[in-house]
Amino acid sequence: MRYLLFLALLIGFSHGAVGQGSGHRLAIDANEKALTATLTYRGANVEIFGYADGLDLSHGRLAISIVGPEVPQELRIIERNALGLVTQGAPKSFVHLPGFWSLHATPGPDALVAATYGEFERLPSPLIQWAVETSRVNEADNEFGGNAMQAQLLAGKLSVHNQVNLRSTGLFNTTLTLPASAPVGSYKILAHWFDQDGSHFVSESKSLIVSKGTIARWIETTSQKQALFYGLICVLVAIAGGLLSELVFRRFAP
Amino acid sequence: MEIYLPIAEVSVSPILVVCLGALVGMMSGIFGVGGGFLMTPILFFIGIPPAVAVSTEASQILAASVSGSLAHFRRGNVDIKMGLFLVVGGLIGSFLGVQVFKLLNESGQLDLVIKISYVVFLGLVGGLMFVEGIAALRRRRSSAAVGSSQRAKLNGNGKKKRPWYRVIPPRMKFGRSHVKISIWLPIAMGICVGFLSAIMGVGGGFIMVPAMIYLLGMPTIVVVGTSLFYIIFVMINTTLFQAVTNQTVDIVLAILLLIGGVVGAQIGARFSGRFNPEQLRIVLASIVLAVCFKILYELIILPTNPLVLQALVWRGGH
Repeated sequence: MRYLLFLALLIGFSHGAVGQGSGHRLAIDANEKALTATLTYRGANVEIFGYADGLDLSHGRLAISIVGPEVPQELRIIERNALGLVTQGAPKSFVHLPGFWSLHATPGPDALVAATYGEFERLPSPLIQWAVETSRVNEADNEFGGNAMQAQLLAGKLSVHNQVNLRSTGLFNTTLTLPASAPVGSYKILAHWFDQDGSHFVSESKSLIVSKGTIARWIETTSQKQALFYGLICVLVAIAGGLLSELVFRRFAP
Repeated sequence: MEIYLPIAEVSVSPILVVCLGALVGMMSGIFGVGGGFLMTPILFFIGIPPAVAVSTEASQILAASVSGSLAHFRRGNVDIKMGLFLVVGGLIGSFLGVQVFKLLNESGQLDLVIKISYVVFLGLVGGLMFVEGIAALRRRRSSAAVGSSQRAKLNGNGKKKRPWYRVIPPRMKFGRSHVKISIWLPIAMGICVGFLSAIMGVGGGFIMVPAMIYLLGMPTIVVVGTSLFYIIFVMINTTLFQAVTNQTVDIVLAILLLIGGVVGAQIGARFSGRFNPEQLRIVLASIVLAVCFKILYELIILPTNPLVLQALVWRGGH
């Protein structure tokens, strides 16, 4: 709550309008500028909070998107081959596809934005449809773009939550739970406003730097940059484990 | 409680992984098999990517082989000369296997090939083991005489004509094994089993042991120790090459499996004498066939998630 109060004061005194609507203000921030995902599954929590001035939050939809760093990715569609076996089809590569998305929205009718972004019927949410449009996927690849978003959704790298809490006087907040598997790098946090008439505007972006914890980070970097050394360590650990177990169990053998 | 596996990029319960490692280790101890051909598919089932499961399992097999071969070495049950020829072949085979593994991974067909390989090998091994177990159980009940002749055959004591592949020059005498055979035979066997080890994440004992008995004509007493000796070097090679070429060895997963595996193997070894061997063989065959059918099911039934999104360059090492 202290962040919300702090932000309200900050916005009141210093921020200019960032939204496109006349007289509207939409600002957003987080309680962390950089965070370290740990070895535990829950990773890290980030409290995101913002301020909407001059917007009637009950007659539109407010969404917060957290977009991870762009990672070159390859999409394959699993299909059945001539022999009846399940196999992976030809790959489609995406150079500019974020490795992580999280979309948080206020509860509301999807139809508010579906009219504008309704061409991707397979996608589960208009917010994801918006994500497809802004993911820098080539327009000719829209079908694959939609599939890529769907794949990210199914892999848990794109999640949609109706959990933006509206507070009094235009304040709102949400909690982002970043899994330990989230890619490292610079994340963008944006606030979006979808009006009843389908108009949409976005706040300025805030950045969040995500890195991995000590052991995970060491393993990742060493396995990539000093692969031979890492391999030798794996071999030595296995040999030491085998020797140790032999020693221990021989000593305590009946 | 869950732990993040940095290379597999999934979170798993460490207790579950240690328990699975212990369970498979126990089966290894009871049945006298390596357990890699059971552990790797089980890792698929708990959500570890096949590429990581196969590579990581190599380091766990290495630990189990070091532990097991020491005991055989002390008893003098290792034919080092024969083992070295097998190792030469195994190093070539595992090197080739890792390269093929890389090509399959890049073409996106690795999971399919690994699963088909498992269905074929588990189906064959499990099926043969099941039939053999049933036959042995019937023999035991009907006639002891038939059983003793079968044991003599298994020990290589039967008078048989020497097969052509054992006499291809150059031939060498292997004193510990009491055989004089072509050196190409153990090298070729090493290549084949080493290749499969790299592709499937198994030690290859379940192929190597019968092949050493039937193809090389080695006595059973030195077969297990020599097989473990061979597996040590092939697994060192496989782990190193997988780490360097494919970067798919997850040390956190390997340590969890290692802890469970070695403890389970020792517990299993102490219980092994208490069970009827024929019944044990049928139980193991049933487990192997169950795993085989589960993988086959995955190959035939379309998954609920028909999309595979793979990062081309990931883990930026921030």
